[in-house]
Amino acid sequence: MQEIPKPLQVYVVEDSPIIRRLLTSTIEAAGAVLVGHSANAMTAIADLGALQPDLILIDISLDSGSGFDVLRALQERNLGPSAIKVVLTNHANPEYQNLSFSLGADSFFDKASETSQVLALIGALAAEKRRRGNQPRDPDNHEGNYNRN
Amino acid sequence: MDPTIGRELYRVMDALVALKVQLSCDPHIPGETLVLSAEKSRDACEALETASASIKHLAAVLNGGEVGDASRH
Repeated sequence: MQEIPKPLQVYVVEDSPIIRRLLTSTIEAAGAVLVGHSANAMTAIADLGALQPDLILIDISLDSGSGFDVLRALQERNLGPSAIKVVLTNHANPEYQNLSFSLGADSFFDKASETSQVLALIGALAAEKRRRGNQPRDPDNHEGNYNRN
Repeated sequence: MDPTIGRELYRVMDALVALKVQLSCDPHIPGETLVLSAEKSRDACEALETASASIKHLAAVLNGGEVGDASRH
């Protein structure tokens, strides 16, 4: 019997309810599943260790802690090594971008001007996951607008 | 800078980002077509309300008045 492919599992680390809702509606419309969300770093780190999502959307500025704390914990504890980590922030400067990439982020987007690209990326990754089924992701062969160099 | 000001400014920015996304339309859709659903309209209105509340909060802080608790969304 053929195994039914799981939809893309997404976790959102974001303290802005309005942006979280925007991301959630996009995730649902794309046929993906929001497996959890948090507005602070500690809860996010605890959740991510257990949930192992395919995609993690991370804001830098949080209610407590930061997106860097989340990325650092993921890297140091090797949590969700195959998850795609996307940073979406109002603090889009080269220093934050470089730090994000050094902590394992796959993409870094400016919230003010590139949120639409993140929404499109969610759709592309959800479609890719449906096509790929339950096969593990090949990090060197993917669709979507990755911007890591 | 007062951290409250920075926080409120980011709230305004987030609301404007949400509003921008809600109002974005596919350029290939004919101009006369109505594309904004009631749900998206409500989300857009909420973004405007959030931005307005934050600006009001900011104005109060900058004027040295009572900060109060601006409407939170």
